[in-house]
Amino acid sequence: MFNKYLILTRDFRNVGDPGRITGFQVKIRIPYYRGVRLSLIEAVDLTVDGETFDRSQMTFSTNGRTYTFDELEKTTDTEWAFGEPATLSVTKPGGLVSGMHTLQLGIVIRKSYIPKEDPENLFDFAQGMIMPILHGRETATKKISLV
Amino acid sequence: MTRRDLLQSFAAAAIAPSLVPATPSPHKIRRGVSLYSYQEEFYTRAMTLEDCLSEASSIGAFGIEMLPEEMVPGFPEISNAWVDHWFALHDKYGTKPVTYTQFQDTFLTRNHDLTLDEGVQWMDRDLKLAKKLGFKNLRLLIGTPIDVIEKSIPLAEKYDLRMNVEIHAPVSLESRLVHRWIGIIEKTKTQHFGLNPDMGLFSMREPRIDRDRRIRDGLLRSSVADLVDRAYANQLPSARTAAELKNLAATPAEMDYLNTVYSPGGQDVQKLKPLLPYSHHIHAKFYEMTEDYQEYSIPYDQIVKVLIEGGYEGYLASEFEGQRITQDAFETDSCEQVRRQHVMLKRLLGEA
Repeated sequence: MFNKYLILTRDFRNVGDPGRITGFQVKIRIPYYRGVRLSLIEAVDLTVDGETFDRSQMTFSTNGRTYTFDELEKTTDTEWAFGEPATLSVTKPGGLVSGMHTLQLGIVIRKSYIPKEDPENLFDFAQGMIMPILHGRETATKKISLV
Repeated sequence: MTRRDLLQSFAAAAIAPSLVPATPSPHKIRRGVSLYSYQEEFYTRAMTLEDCLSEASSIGAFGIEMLPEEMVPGFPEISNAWVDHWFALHDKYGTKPVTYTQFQDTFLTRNHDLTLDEGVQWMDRDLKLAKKLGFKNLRLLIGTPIDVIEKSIPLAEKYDLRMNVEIHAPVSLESRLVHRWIGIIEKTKTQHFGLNPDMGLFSMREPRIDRDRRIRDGLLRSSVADLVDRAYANQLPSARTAAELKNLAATPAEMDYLNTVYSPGGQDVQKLKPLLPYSHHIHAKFYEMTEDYQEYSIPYDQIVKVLIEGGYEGYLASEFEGQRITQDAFETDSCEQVRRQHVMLKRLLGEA
């Protein structure tokens, strides 16, 4: 949900000093109808012009703080607020060239709608739904010009 | 009305159906809105919390349900200044906090699920915040662990709040799960745990906006959609329609459309009646309100009749959920959609 809103155009830019560009950043929003504790961000993946960046190459900034993905996993007292742009910073020496780029984003928010264990056999109606609900991945694609 | 009175009134109605009045009888059903309905405008910052409450007030939907994780800045910390702001807005617009939409995030981290005691602490935190914000009810997710619910009842009693677990499609109204919840209420005799049925349980046909989305997503040819819709309307057996689809080299996604159309999953509205004595909040879920004030898939005329006959006391809180199906291609106007639902509800409830 909210797929067309997930990737923001504004603030898409290279970062670092002139001549020593270390990477780029893009602002993203949550694909869910509420904010969640940072630990509930199960996965974020980003592909730019066919090049995929994994979690070790990215950091996530919100509420004025920057987190590695290992840190996000452990942060249970702070939320990625609903509709609030977070900044995804990606390590890529030299950055991206000026011009049009195609960004493909995937986000998984972990959801606790259906229990994983069902000792009393109460949730039989949800068989087969548990994994898709827990780990449903929302995607977005956007073309943005980098200046 | 006690449960016994209720059962007697059903018996009377069964013997003499003509005694059921055509116009709404006196009832204690009030209109409200879950601010979930305005999620898209809040997300894009087209509307603020104040805009949402002002809008709810202007349509007479005075009972407010809110997801704190949607609208409270800094959650789970809530500043006293924000609490003051919250109550000042309700004073200004004549609205009141009714239901706090709680989320029991049991699978909190990748490597650790909340234990029973941690789950109860999580619930305790939400109960305290709900109390602080003046709510009377907590909506619990369908998957809230049973043992957490049982162990949290004394806390709900302490704060004088009611936890209402949401009965949401596809669970059956007659399922073991629903009986398990009712068993807890009957066994403990508590006034602080109940049910929160979601009217999406009664979705009697595939929303046409969902069909159109499948077509836009390239999952369904419109010719196949037409064939399936026509066959279903003409009550042709699904096996025959499936055979026709095979001849058209239908994809698995197209066969899925056939299955969805033929099994919309809507339950018998009458089955809600025996649950009403346990129900303290209701989600008036909807996907599409048409210009002539009908929900395309959900039979609100039948639903409201059952709520009145069953003596339901509480709010009908709008839950607009069509935006997620149409937002890829169309601009969302949540306010107009909620307004249409309230024109309908007002008529069905016999409000002047």
